Amino acid sequence: MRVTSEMMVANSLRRLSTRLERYERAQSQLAAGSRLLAASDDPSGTGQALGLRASQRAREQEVRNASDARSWLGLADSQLQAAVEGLQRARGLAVRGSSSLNADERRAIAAELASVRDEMVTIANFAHRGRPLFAGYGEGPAVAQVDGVWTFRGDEGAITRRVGESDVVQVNVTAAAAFGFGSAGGDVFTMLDELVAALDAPDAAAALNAGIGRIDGARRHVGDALARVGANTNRVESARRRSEDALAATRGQLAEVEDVDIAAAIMDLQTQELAYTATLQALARALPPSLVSFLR
Amino acid sequence: MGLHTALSGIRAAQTGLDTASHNVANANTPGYTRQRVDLTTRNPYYSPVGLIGTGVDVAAIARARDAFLDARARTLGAEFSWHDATAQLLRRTEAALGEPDQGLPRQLGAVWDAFEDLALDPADSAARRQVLSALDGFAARVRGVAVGWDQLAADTGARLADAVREADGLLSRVAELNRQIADVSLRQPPPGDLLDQRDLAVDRVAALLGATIGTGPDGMVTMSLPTGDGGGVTLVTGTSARTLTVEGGTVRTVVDGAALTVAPRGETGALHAFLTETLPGRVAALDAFVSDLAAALNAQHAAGRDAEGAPGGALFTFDPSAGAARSMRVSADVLGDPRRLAAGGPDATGPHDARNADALAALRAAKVDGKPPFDGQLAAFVVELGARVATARSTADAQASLSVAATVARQGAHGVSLDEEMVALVAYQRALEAASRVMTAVDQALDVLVNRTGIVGR
Repeated sequence: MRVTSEMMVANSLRRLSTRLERYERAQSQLAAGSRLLAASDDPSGTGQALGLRASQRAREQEVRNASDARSWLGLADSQLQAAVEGLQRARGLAVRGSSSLNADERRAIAAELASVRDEMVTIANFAHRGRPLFAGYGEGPAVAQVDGVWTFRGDEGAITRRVGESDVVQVNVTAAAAFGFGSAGGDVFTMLDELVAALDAPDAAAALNAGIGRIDGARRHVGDALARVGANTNRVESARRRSEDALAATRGQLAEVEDVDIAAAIMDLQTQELAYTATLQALARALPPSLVSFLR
Repeated sequence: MGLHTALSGIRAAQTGLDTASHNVANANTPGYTRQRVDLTTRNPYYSPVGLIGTGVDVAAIARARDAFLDARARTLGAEFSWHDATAQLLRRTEAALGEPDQGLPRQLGAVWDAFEDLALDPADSAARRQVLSALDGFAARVRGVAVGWDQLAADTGARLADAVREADGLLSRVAELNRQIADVSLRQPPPGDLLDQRDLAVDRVAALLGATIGTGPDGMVTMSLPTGDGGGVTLVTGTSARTLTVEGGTVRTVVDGAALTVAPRGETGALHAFLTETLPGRVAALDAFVSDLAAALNAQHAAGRDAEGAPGGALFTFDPSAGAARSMRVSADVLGDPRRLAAGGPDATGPHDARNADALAALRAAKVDGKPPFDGQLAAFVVELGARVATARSTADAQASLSVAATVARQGAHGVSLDEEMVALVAYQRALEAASRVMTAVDQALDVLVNRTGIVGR
C-alpha cells in the first residue's frame, strides 16, 4: 500500500487525540471519586444509583422519624409513670382516710389528696418544647377547669410517625384515654375533687371505701395507656434498627455502583499517562528520514 | 534530426522537473492530487533502412485521482458528520440537566424530606420555611433546565443558519468551477488545480449536506438532495446552482419560483433533526412530568387546611402554553406566608394536626394514575437521555474510525510521497544532463561535417 508522510502524521494525530481523551477521562473520574460523572457514562448504573439514593433518603428520614417518636414516647412514659405513683399515693391516703375519724387528720388527708390532684393536672398538661403531650392536635393545656368542671380541652387527634415503608406508629396518648375523660368512672380529677369533698362529711369512711375502687379504676386506665406506650416504643425501636440496617446495605450498594476504586483508578491513570507519553514519542518519529536527507 | 530528438528529451526532462517540484511544493496543500508526467514516443520516421525514432512527447500531465475512493470517503464523511453533530448536541442537552446526583432528583428528594420534617412538627415555623425553600429550589432548578435547553435551541438554530449559508456559498462555487473547467477544457485537458479546488468544495458540501454527487460525461459535477415529499431535487447542474435557505427551522430551495423543502443529511441534517424532533421531545417529556407532579401536589395541598384553618391553595403555578418547565413557580401567597402551608387535615382541628403534611410526604412513593412514583419517573427520564447520549457517542466513534480509514486510503492514492518525488527529481535531472550531452555530441559531429569536410588543400 502506498504510504505518504501526510497519512502517517494524520494517523498519529488521531491516535494522540484518542489517548488524550482516555487520559482526561481517567483523571476526571479519579478527581471526582465517582464513576458516574454524567448519566451517559453508564446509563444502567445511573438508574441503579438514582434508585438507591432515593431509597437511602427515605431510610434516613425513617431513622429521623423514629428518633423523634422515641423522644415523644419516652416523655409520655415518664409522665405516665409519675401519674401511676401519684395514684398509688392517693390510694394509700384513701385507705388511711377510710379508717381515721379525727377531723385534723381528715383535713391533712384532704390537703394531700388535693396536692395529688394538682400534680395530676400538671402531668396532664405537660408540654415539651411548646407541644402539649396529651392534647392530641390541640394547642392549649389539655385539661382545665371550665366553670368549675374539669374538661378535656384537646382532641382525639392521633400523632403518628412513619418509621418504616408502610409502618406508621401512633406516638401520643390523649388525656381522655389516660385520665378517664368520657369513661364510666369519670375523669380522675373530678374523682379526686369528690374524695376531697367527701372527707369533710361525717360519713367519709363509706365514700372513701368506694373511692379506693375508683382510684384503682383510674390506675388501670393509666396502666393501659402505659402499656400502649411501651408496645409502641418496642415497635419504634425495632423499626429503627431495620431502617438502619437497610441504610447500611444501601450505602454499600451505592458505593459499589458509583464509587471509583481509588487504587485501580490511580493505576489506570498512570497507565494512561505512560501510553500518552509513548504515543508522543511515536509521533516525534512519525516522519521517517526520507530520501531528501540522503541526496546531495 | 538528432538535435530535435535531443531537444525533445530536454523539454520532457524539464517538464518532469517542473511537475516534481510542483508536487513537492504542494505536498501539504489540502485537497492536492499529485500530478504525473505522461510521456509517449513521437511518431517514427520511415527511413529506407527502417523506422527511426524521433524523440519523446509529453502526452499529458495526468492527475492521479481515484473516483471510487473519493465517493467512499465522501459518503462516510457525511455519515460521520451527522453522528458527530448529533452526539455533541445530545451531550450538551444532558449537561443542562446537571450531574445525576446533584440535579433534579436531589432537589425532588429534598422536597419530600421537607414535607416529612413538617409532619414532625407542623407548628414549627422553621419547618414550614424549610418546605418553602425546598419547593422553591426545585422550581428554580426546573426553570434552569428549561432555560438551558432554550439556549441550546437558539445556538443550534444559529449553527444551522451558518451551515446552510456556507453550503449555499459552496454550491455557487462548485457551479462556477464547473464553468471554468468547461471553458478551459475546450482547448486543452483541464488543469489539475481547478479540479482539485472543485473536489475540495464538493467534499465540504458532502460533509455539510450529505448530498448525492454525480459526474456527468461532460465532466460536470451534479449534486442533488432528497425532498421532504420523497422525491429529489438537483441543487447543482452544469453551471447553475440553486439557492439554499433556512426559514422557520426548515431548509428550503427554490424551484420554478416555488419554495421546496429539502431533507439534508450530514451536519445540517443532524442540526435540523435535533432542532425539530429530539430537543422538543425532551422538552415535552419534562413538561409532562412537571405538570403531573405539580397537579398531584396541588390537589393534595388543596385537601388540607393551613395554620389559619383555611383550605390550602395551589402550591405550584405554571402556564401550560408557555411550557410547564419554563414557567413553574411556587405560588406567591404561599411563598410569602409560611402559615398558608396546609399541613392540617381536612376537618379543621388544632395546630399540631399534621395529617396533610403526612399525605404530601406520602406522595414520594405514590403511584398516581398508575404511573411509577415521581422519583422513579424522574430517574427514568435522566437515564433515558443518558442512554441516548451514550449510544450516539459510541456510534460517532465507530463512524469516525470508518471515515478516517476511508480518508487515509484516499490520501494514499492521491497524496504526494516525498520519496517518490525525490526519485523523480533525480531521474529527470539525469535525463536532462544526458539529453544535453547528446545534444553536444550531435553538435560536435555536425560541426565536423559542416566545417571540416570538403576542404581540399586548405
